[in-house]
Amino acid sequence: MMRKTYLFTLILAVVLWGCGEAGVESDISKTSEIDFNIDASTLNTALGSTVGQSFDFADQEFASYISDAEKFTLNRLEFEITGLTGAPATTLDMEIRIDFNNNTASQTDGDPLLSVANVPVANTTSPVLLFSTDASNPGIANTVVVSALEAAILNRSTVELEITSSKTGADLTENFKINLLFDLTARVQLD
Amino acid sequence: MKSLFKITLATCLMAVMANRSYAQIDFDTFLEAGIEDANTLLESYMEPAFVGFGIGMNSGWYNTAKPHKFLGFDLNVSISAAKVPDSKQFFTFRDSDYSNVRLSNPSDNRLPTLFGPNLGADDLPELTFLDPGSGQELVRITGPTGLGIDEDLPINAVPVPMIQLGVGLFKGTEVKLRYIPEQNFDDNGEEQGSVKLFGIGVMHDIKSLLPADKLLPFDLSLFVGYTSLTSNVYVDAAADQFAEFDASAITAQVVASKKLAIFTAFAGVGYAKSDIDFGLKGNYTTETTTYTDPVNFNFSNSGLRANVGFRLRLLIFNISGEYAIQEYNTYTLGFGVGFR
Repeated sequence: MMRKTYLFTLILAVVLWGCGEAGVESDISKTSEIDFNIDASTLNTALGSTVGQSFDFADQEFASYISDAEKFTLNRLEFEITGLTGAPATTLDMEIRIDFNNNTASQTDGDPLLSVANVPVANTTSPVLLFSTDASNPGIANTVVVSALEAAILNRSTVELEITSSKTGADLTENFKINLLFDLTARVQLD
Repeated sequence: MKSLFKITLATCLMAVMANRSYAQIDFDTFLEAGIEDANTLLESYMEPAFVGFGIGMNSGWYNTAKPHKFLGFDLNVSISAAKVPDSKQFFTFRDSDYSNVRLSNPSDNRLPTLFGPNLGADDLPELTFLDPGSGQELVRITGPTGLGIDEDLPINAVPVPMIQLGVGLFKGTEVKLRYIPEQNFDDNGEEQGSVKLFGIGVMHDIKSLLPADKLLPFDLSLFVGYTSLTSNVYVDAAADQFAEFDASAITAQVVASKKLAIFTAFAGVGYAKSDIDFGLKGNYTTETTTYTDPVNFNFSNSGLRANVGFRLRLLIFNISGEYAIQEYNTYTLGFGVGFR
């Protein structure tokens, strides 16, 4: 990361003066991939298997911009399944929750973001859309939780993302990964 | 005078630091996408600032076609404003010009230049920066916005301040000097940069070479002027990172003027050329790579230059104005003192 200097600040003052009251507004968008390791044996024996990942979006993805960010927007949420060599006749029911208190993952904490049923346990060829701000294809997420997530990122809070999954069909013989892809935009305003 | 230098520096160097989102925050993103792409994008974005500055440097040389008498002189300060044409408020982003930067929406390809309007993020095209190795998306950022200068000021122009001394020699010849010895700036002991200016111009009365010159009711001279400005501004003095700016401009003109009491009207026509070299020097380290002297580009401009203007002489004081027609039409306002 380049070092910030007083000179930049000096020049910035000139530029912002030039920009008047409007200041400078910019959007920075990134896709954050968060991977969850799914253990086949646990999934085969448990009614619902929960895995969690703590993640600080602000620090890990937007550290350069967070001090000037005025809002975050979750544009899209997608998932992928990777790491399988076969295609078992198994499907998953998944619930994704966000624990804003960043507790240890369990089935009982966190706010439900979305649920999806009958997901084939097979490597996905492209990300599968779960949620989008595109009104024509909005997906299935709880918008209240989405808003809470956006606010938590702005507040630089670490959240715990939790996936609880249950299988239907044949037992699984290999572990795999569920990757959640959060496409986020930070709106930066410099006055 | 220090303020004058700073205005000059700011004008020149807002180039790199054009706006915070594209300099302080995202310059490393530019570099990660590749030096060539960084140069291409910055060059398009900053062109009006540099071209305008070069054009403005050729203004304000004279306010009459009559050279001073022997040891007559004038000391003049001026501010020129090279108006950025509407066509230079935007540039077209072509994916084919870049290796690792793409428009997120290919049909939305008009980006403001530095002297374009100050647009909000919703109105700016979005650029996608790709990892040069994997081709995977690194980040998407709305294009840089313009300064929106004409939202607050009456003219969208590049300012060029100048100071010069004119001294009459002999046989209808006057020499004009623009000179600022190297000035170093510091801020509470921290080195900030330096600037120096040199220019020389010669005006020679050519009316006397014409037949029946006494019958001509105006003054007529040939003028040639050269200006050079060099500036370094530290990005980080401790890391020896600095922006380097070299500008030179030359003009040759035939000038005519007519004096009526305290009022003098003048007009000129000729040729003008300017060259600007800009570089970001030093070693710049991103998350993955160290780049040496990552940004370098040159702007040249040349062509016909015609101007009209006036001078009001009140005792020893001069107030002058000039309008020059060229690629960036330029307005100049001057104030000075003169004798003989």
